[in-house]
Amino acid sequence: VKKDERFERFLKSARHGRPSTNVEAPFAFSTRVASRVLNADREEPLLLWERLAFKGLALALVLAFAVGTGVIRIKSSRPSTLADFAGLAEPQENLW
Amino acid sequence: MANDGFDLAACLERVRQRSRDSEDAARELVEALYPLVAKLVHAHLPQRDEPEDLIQEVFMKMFARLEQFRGQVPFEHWVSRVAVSTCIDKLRAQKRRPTVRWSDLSEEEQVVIEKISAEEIAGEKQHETLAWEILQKLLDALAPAERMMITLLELEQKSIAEVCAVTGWNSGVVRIRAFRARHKLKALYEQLEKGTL
Repeated sequence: VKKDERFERFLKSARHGRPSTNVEAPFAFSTRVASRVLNADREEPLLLWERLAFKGLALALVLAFAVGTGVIRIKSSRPSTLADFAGLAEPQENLW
Repeated sequence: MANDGFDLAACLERVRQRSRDSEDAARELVEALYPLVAKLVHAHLPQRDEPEDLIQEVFMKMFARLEQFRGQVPFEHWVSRVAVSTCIDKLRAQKRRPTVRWSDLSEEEQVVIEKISAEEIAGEKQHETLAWEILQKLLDALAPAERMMITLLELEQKSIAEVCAVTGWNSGVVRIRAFRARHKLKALYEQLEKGTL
């Protein structure tokens, strides 16, 4: 019981010792919040576009890399047509 | 609401319409709700923290979730819930102290505990302020929801129904959390008190 009483006394003292809170908004607080809210709304479609654009760019890079490596692989497997035309390519065996 | 003659419903409608005067309406709404939000944030945030950033965060969340407000509870209660959940998130993100020991207290704070134990404290403002500071240290060791319970029920002396309205929790949850919070706080205080022996 004594313990309870001491705890209650402590809580009561703490309750009375609460500092008063200043509930006045700082200067231009509401203007700052309102403009942030509306700017966030305006930025939303732009952010979406930006996110899509970055994803598109990444996809384009992957595709370009795949196409590039494919072309190189094909080219290295047979002589180029330019070399053929210039007669620089190794003569093929006469099948006749 | 703090401002007399302020038409909340009309203001909300103007904000929602995203018309030319939405910014004015948003500003009016922030001005009208600032005392409510500031009071909640000041009460639940640890003393050492700066409340302005958190108050701003509460308002940003409020506007972002405005479409979710269905009018089932008064708008002030809905905003209070946004503020309470924001404070709890903030407290969760902070590291809790395991406990407060006698040696963690300043000399003046130790004197206050001794006086409370010896029933010598009698409405001295300086001692009451110190008791409040000690309580803040003890609250740092509680879980955010428990801290919230002590602040609302013991310090602000709100009723269970009022706590339910502010937090959005049902009365059973509030009672259980309040019981646990009080039990833990009492244990922490008794542990602290042992230093006086």
